[in-house]
Amino acid sequence: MIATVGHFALFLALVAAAWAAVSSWLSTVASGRGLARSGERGIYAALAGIVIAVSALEIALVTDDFRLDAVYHYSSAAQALPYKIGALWGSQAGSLLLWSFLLAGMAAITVATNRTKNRALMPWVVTVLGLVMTFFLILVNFVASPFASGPMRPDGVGLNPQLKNYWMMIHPPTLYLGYVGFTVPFAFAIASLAARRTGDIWFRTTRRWTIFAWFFLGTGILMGSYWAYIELGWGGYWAWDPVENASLMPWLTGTAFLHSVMIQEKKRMMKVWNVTLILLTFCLSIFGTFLTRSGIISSVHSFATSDIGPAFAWFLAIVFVGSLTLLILRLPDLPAEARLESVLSREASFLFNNMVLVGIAATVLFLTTFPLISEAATGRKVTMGPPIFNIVNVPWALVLLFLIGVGPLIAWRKATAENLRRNFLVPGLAGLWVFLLFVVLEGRSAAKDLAAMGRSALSFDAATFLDHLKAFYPPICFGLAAFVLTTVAVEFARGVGVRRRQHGEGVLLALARLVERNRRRWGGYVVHVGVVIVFVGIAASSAYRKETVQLVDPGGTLQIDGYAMTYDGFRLEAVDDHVGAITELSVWQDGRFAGRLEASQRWHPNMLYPELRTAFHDAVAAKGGDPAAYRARIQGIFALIARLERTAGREVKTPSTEVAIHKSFSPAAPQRFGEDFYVTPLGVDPISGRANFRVFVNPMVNFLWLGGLVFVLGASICILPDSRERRRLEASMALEDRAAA
Amino acid sequence: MDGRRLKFVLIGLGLAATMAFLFVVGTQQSDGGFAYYVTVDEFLVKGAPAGHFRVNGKVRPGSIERLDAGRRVVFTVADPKTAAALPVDFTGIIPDTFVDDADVVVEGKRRPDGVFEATTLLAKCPSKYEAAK
Repeated sequence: MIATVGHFALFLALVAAAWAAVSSWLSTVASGRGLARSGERGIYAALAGIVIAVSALEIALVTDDFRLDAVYHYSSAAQALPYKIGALWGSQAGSLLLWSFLLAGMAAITVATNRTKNRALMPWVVTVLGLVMTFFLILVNFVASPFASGPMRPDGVGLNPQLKNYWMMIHPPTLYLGYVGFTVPFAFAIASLAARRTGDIWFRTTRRWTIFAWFFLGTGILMGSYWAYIELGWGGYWAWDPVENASLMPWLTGTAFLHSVMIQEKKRMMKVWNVTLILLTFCLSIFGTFLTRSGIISSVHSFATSDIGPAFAWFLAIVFVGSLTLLILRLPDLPAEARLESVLSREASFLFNNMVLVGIAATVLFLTTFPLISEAATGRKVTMGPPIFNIVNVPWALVLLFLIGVGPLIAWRKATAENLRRNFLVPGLAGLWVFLLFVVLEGRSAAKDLAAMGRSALSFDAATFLDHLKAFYPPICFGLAAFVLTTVAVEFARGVGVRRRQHGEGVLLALARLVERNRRRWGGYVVHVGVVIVFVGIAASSAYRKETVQLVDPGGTLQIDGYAMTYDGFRLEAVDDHVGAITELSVWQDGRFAGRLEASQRWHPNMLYPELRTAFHDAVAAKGGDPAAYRARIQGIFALIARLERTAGREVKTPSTEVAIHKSFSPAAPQRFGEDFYVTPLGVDPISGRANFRVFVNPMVNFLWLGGLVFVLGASICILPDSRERRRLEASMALEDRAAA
Repeated sequence: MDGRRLKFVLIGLGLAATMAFLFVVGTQQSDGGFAYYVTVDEFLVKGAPAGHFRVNGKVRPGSIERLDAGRRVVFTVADPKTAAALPVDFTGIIPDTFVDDADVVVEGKRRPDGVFEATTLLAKCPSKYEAAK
């Protein structure tokens, strides 16, 4: 029943989306007002169909309808309600449905908010949106249907335990909002080319859409790293995994786009470049979805392997070639109305930031897909690990950090010596001072690295040179961070000072008014501060992290980098869908008691084995009774799993680890501010309790998440409606209407 | 093309060239993360003895020998299709999923005595468990 409703609703949505695309396109040729309206209604109808399908799938998940494959494989009767709901995007078909749903929602909002505006562009916008929707709806109708079903099954397999995490529940929808959101500015860009309205209306109309998509993509990436950090137990947050790279690339090109449109606004140049950037960003978003969902490049956490690959490859090729052809045909409509005058100018610094951002995105793309390229070209498979990504990208990330400081302050057209001195002397000195301070703190090892760099430079040994240069990356990063932060501080101080003098306002009021008067500019500064804090967190936590692996018996102690951890004892539990050994730990930081922690190693038994299922339920039932009996039953499950694995010759459990983290924010230990003491139990013997602990000390890692919060704050300021922006857009529209008439 | 334009083009080309240079240097570093990906059979028959490799195969049942209180393991990885087998010595973090017959990827290089010294050991675990049997 549910499946029938779902199939039917999705099919209607497909017809509606296809109609939206066709009738909107016809209206541009036949200039039928009615056709255009009908196309817009098609978008609404498609949204209605998808909403019904999403609801149907959610009902099936919540009511445990195990006839549906998407329910059977990703949910189970015992699964907690939030995870039943979230299992929608656990399955591949379900996540494609989510994509379609978000896209249809955004398309509907676009149509609704442009009812009376942009009449020349809208038919083309609806055509593009309709086509993209049609593609995703073809996938969920014919290639990977979320409503594929079989016979009723007594219980489901359940979601992968590692995905049962709060962050993992909100991370995919957040990321998808970002991926999907870029469709709207892309559609407007294509529309402006197709309709030969190549002014600034397309990007002014979609400015907030772009920030919205970029914001959600950025937040989604950070959430994903946070999930990896607290859930995967390897002490890190970024592994240059294909799926991670997939989300980073469109974010980088999107960031470049956000900056370079400002040049087009001010100077009416870089028009072709901007269209190219949004085209690249959209293609990379589709490519990202494709990488995540197709498993084409093996990935540590690609949870999917499937047959949607060819469909995506074709779609991507059509979009890319089609839009590029259109762009080339319209090149005469996109003349630059100004040109770069000096390397020392804001235009040039934005251009350089674009080059670096796109350069990094291109290298990441190249390195991510290199295994495929190499296999196709030479027949040899190769793999690319994280070090090579760091070797290539870290120096350029540092250049980017420098440009973050330069871009907003350097003069337009051509910077004078006076402009440079006024804006950069103090920040430059501050940066240099911090850099030297950290080099001096490194002391002898810095001197050794410097000497080795000198020797290798003389013998043209680039590899050794780079190896030793690496030691200076953290001080360079901290120095540049100080430089950028000082530029921003000076800007805020100047702005507030001017308002105080002119309007006699207090500091806080002046600050609030200042930001409110030009949200984009000051919100942008806040975003920059967030990014700088993230950079500092990455540099410190990757350069100065400490790690140890030790076997400890209950009662024993482990020491690392000024910390002592005693293993007080352990207890066993059988809850939800797993048995676990919880280790109880006490942590001392530099001789002071820091707190108690609990880290656990869990085994999720495969409930499809009846004997395991029975033993597990017996153990859960024994909870609250005699503690010794409860413990014995759980130990019995561990033994049973080991026995079953020997006879079955395969895994009958999924292990997962719950890490324990002690965060330091205490003013008593300022040198440890933002540091994490991070414990992963790699294995716990259920009888003796002997545990193999992997322990990390990650200095300043929390700066990453704090910087993320600052980023969210800044982006929120940028995305609020801005009356200045609205007036500019209206002025452009009036101008264009006059020109057309 | 006027002089100014040329300057920007040169800067762009310089950027691309340094990235390519860093890439080449990176692939040549022993721990650069660049490795050939081969099966056990390919490694023994075609693989060059020098260089960094990732070798994929299955753990031969009964070959696992855990040493140093579980921090070092010596085992044999076998090609599932042919009879080729490679002795492996690994010190480090042994994943939970490392068991007899597990599908593993070992990364490292071959020692002169023919034993493969691995710096990384990945054991693939099925992303979800299917029905029993």
